[in-house]
Amino acid sequence: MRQWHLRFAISALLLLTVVLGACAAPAAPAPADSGAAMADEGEMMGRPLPDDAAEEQVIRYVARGFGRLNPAAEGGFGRFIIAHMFMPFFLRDADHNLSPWLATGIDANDDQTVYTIHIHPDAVWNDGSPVLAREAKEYWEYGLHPEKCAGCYLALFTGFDLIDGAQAVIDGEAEEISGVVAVDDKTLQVTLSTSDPLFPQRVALFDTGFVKVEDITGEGFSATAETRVNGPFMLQDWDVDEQKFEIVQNPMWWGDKKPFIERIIATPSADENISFIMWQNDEVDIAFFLTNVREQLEEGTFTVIPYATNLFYTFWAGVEPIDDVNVRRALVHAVDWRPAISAAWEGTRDDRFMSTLLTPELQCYKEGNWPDFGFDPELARAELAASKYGGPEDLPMIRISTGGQSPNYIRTAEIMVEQWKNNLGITNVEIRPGWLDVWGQDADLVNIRRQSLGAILPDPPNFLAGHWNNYGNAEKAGSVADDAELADMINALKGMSRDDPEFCAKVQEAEARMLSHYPIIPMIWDPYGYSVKPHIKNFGTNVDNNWATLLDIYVAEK
Amino acid sequence: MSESSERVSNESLGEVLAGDGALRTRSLWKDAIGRLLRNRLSIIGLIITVLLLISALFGPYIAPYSYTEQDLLNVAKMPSPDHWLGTDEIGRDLFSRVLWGARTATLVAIFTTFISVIIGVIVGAIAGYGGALADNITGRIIDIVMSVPGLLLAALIAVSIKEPVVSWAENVYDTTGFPLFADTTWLDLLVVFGGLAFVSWPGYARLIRGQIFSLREEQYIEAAKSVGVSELKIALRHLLPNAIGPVIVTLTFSFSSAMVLESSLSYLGIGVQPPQASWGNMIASNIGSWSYRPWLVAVPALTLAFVTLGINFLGDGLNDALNPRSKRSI
Repeated sequence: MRQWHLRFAISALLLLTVVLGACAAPAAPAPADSGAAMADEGEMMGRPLPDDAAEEQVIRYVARGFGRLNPAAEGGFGRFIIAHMFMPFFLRDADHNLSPWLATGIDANDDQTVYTIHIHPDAVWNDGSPVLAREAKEYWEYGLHPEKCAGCYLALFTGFDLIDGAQAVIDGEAEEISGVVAVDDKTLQVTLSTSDPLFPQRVALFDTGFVKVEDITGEGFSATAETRVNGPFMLQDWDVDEQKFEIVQNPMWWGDKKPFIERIIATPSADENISFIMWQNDEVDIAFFLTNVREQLEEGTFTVIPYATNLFYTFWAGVEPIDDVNVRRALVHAVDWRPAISAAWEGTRDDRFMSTLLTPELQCYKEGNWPDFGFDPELARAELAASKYGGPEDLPMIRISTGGQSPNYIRTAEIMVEQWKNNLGITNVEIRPGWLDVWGQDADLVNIRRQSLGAILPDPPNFLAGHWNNYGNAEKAGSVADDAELADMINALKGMSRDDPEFCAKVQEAEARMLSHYPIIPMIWDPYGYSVKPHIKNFGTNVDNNWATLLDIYVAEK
Repeated sequence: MSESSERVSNESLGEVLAGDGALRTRSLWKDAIGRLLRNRLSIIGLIITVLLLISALFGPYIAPYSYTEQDLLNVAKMPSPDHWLGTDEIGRDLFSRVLWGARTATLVAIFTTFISVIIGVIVGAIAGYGGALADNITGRIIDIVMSVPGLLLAALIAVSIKEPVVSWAENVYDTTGFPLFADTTWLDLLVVFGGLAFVSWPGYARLIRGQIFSLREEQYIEAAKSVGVSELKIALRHLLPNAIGPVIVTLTFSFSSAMVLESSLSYLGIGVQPPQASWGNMIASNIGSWSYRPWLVAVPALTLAFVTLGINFLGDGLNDALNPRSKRSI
């Protein structure tokens, strides 16, 4: 019996030693490449959760689709998270106010032509290596170069052409941006060719966050779990082929504030109706782009992204018969747009009819700033007769891509087709619901394409520049006009003080001139939004579609 | 030949002696029609099918409006004397679009089923009557074709084969002005649903093969062979007519399946394109507003359900009528 007592005592002592040892020992340092694995095992390092938080801090998110994840190429649905993986220098809130993010601050000289950015001294990549100023410069040189980063938006969205030497890189004539200099490891100096009060806003855009260039692999680069990040989140999966999109915490995140959310599981759904059914079935916590069913959502669940986007059909003027401005004019004048848009959007956007390019949220907005706009069937017939096609009989086929399956877009297309038939006698028209891929080999022949453009930099000249890049670029098939004077007008506006008494008059003049080329078929200005379930707390977004408050978001008990 | 064997032979030819001694003809088909008409559900199915066919044939003449005609001042209206089933969100008459949708669904169903039956019967006959080698080869072909998922095939055809065909037709029209190719909408349907038909025939082939295997052991086939009737004549005169009953039954079910498939494809945006009317794209267009404008979804959805059910009732009735023993055995 005594032997048993002894064995029991020794066993208890050993057990106690093991337990105390486990509690008291310092945590082993994380291996440099073990972030994903750690997150997988649930070893979270988030700060203490609020009292009402759920045990599992996972967000299930649905959006229309996910493309390549690369800050310079990001034009769509990776925006919700990208600034929390590849951090821009600043982060905007819903009111466009900037907070330090990768940088601690920015200094400008008196005439706002030289900016000095100070990178956070603690900033490191998730392999532990420091974030360096030259890495931003190298990435921007990659992102602006048309051959290195084909199909990227960095030049389009940021207005970086204002940086000294950037235009040569954008044109593919230089490799290096002479106006960007890494003064030391943590200081970046940017020299502009003209004064720009908006530059700090530019380096808050999600496109300006950067990837280490040695991690960029091949053309059409998209980040993988192996791509190093400097933000609080990292990829576990971002596989377009496998349709797997999972984001987890970066265990090497260097910021003071740790996130609550442990994991984000993203699901693509091309059909908004299906997203809505997922929403109704509680299969998702956050949904993007339930714009068309907004009225059916539970009260308080729709969080508007604080800027309006132009939703429109673009005349793709590189393809006949849209190349003829008289055809474009006729097609616009033959449709009674206000009742058409009202019907197509079920009366929910009557006050958001797009009567010009600038949205009501932007400075210098002037309703109806579109020369000769209006429903006039007789004028339309005369314009079609004056076109090089002479009338409807010899008009080549008009192909309309609705850019998604949204019933609103399809209805708009159906209405215009019917009114073109009734008012112009045009019957050679085909509508395909969906993106260009539904046209297969005929995709290049599609001459009316549904598109959208938002003012992610809430500034009229930048917004007009974004539009004109679509229509006025002679190298693009969608170009409607080679109007160098208009391009000069827009460039001049960029360097103008926004408080100049002449500023708005000049903006409106440029806007009207662009619209006189009839580049688009209008629909609406619509603020996008996220639908967020009530148990997701502290949700906030900015004009970049970024979950700007992600570090404070948590999942509460339902 | 004994008296009993004479009577059996006469019966097999569809003749019986009436009580008054006169010879009265009683055909298999007359019997089947009699049985069909005594089945109430079959009658309901038959009425629905006839209504569908009338709608498909004469719908454009019955419809009070064109399927594209819009009245933007009267959108999403409830049923009224002017619009019996109401209007959709862009003011199109729902009743007219349902009638046009019936034409689309019926055309697709007839087209798909017809091609499937033709191919299936030919392949099935070859398999059943062409010997072991033919049976083996056709069997493998059937296995391969059956492994192709129809919906995926339709999607593949829509993005790969359809465009070249349509482009070719447009080029023909541009160069020759041949009026058939002025509007290529029908060609869209032809290619997508023709492609579907090419993967839908194995069911028929297997059915025919099985029937032929069973029928060729029958005494009257043996008798025909013994008197020197040619193989081709036996196949065409005796085997196929006797095997066709189950095919007709399967055909009716396939017909309703084809309608559902057309609606599914149109719902997904692969099949009939707007502004053409299809029950599927009518449902897709209105699914977002089902909770506050339920009739916009209910009308095409119920029509599809109603028609499918009706055709299936008819199929069941035909099954009972053409294969009375199968019903008893159940």
